[in-house]
Amino acid sequence: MIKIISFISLLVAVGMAIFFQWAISFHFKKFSIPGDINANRVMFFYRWGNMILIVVLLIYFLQL
Amino acid sequence: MIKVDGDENILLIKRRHFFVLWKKVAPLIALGTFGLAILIASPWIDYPKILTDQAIFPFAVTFILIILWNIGFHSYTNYYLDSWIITNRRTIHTELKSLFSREQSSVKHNRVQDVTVTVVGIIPTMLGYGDLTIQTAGSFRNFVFAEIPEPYKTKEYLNKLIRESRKNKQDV
Repeated sequence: MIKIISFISLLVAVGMAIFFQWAISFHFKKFSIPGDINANRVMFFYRWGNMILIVVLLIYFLQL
Repeated sequence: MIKVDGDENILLIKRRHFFVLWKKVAPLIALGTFGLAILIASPWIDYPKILTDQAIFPFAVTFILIILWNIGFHSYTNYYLDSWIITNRRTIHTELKSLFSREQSSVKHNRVQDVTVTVVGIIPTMLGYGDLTIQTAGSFRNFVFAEIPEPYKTKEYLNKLIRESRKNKQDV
């Protein structure tokens, strides 16, 4: 039971992270100001944060 | 990417005051920090056995952190991309109302009739942020720079550009 709930949670978290990442990068590409380096830095930080959290979640899921 | 004409220069970019973002993000940071703190403190606290037997507890905390991280960045995107760009010819405003709901408008300096600053409340007065409203000629609605820092300085700068723009029009 715990495995099933955790698996659904994992899918929700990964799905949400992928969707938000796509939507946020889409808006940054579309509406950033020409020559804005900060926008790239923010996206880099956000992507890596997302990736690390997903990997950590996967590790914990495999330990269940 | 926002496009400007070839002979157009970006002079000033205004966003909402940082405090406006902080108000939205602070509860998320507090919640995330609290989650991490109870995770780090878990060896010293007697949690129910079901949580400590397996990796359920860290899994749940990481799950919540992913949600908070994404909501936080959504708020940051809203803050960062809601901008007012003042060029030598016009003011461009992009507003991200939510993901997939956005509005972009611009007004030329020579169409501006009046510029008004409104600062309401103790915190905006102390931190120095407020609304700057541009009234334009014709049926175009008001153009509001919402909760921007240094609204009075921006007003002066905008007035200077408007005067220059009118002068250039008269010269032509």
